[in-house]
Amino acid sequence: MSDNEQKDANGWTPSLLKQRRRRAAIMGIALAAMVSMFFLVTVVRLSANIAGSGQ
Amino acid sequence: MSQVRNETLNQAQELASLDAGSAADYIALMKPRVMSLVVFTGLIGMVMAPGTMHPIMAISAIVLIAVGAGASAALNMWYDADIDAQMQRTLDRPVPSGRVDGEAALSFGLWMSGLSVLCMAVLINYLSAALLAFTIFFYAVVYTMYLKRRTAQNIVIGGAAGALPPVIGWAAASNSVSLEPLIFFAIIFVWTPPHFWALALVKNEDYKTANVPMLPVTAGAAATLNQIIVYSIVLMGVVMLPYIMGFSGMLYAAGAAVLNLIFISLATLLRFADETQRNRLATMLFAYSIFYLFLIFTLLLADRLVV
Repeated sequence: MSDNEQKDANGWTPSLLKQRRRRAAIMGIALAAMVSMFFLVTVVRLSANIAGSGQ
Repeated sequence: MSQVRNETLNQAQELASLDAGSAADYIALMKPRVMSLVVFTGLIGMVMAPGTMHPIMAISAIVLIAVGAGASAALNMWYDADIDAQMQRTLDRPVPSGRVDGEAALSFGLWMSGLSVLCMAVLINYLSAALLAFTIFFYAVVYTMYLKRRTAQNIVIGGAAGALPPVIGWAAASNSVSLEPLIFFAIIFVWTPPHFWALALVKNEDYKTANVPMLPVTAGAAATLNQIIVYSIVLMGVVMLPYIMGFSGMLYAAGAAVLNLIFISLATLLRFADETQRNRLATMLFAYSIFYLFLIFTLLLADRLVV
């Protein structure tokens, strides 16, 4: 953080805000990955159950 | 000088109060280098387990083991911020440097712990989830909050947390725990003390300053060096167990024997080195011990794939 950066009313500088946005984006990606993981594991389990019931 | 220090501290507090940690700081909170060894040994446990696991399930389990390990590291960094701030080696960690607020580290660690265990229970099985929960609890509470500041045996007993990932991996793949993963546990458990004491010898002044009762601080360098030799000899017996118990072949036995002889030789060299050489050899032993563990588990896998 540079000392001469302009702070907004809440004390945030542009570089801090940019850092926070990047962090939020990564958190969003992590959440999406978790949802995908749940979806894919459900598909795998369903497929195994369907394959098992056909025998 | 003290004015500059105060300004730096104020700036650190100001940054922390703004919750200004970057994504990289949060990744650093999870100790990625430690996590890589955890993931590797967990993966080997999973591959060695009987039965087959769907790749998506296997990837999910590995990710969850990694997140659980990272979560316990974040809790460790939150609790140890006061110690870390006094040690050169850890001074620049996200919490003591003020880049991440202590409370943010705590909530990050708790959320990640809860999520990893919950997902493991729902997606993989209850046994691996219970083992993961126990590992996080053991590292964050038993080791970090209790053992670390009270006894020179801190890393001997605390090593159990780092030794559990192959057991979790095995349980994730087979929903059971048998003798084989317990032997993997024993290998890492016995490997941990000489690995950490080599580092503690080099960073002795740091630990003294922070009042952490590591063995070199409480018993001195000579006693620690003797203990390193004893543990490296015991390790020879333990790494041979997979061969003795019949679930690894000659490839593993020969490789493990050579690797362990080098370990014992380095430990002996370190024991009899003069003080000018001690730090260099201790650093070398520390680096070698990481390489050693990586190769031991690679050999276990290679032996299984070849035979």
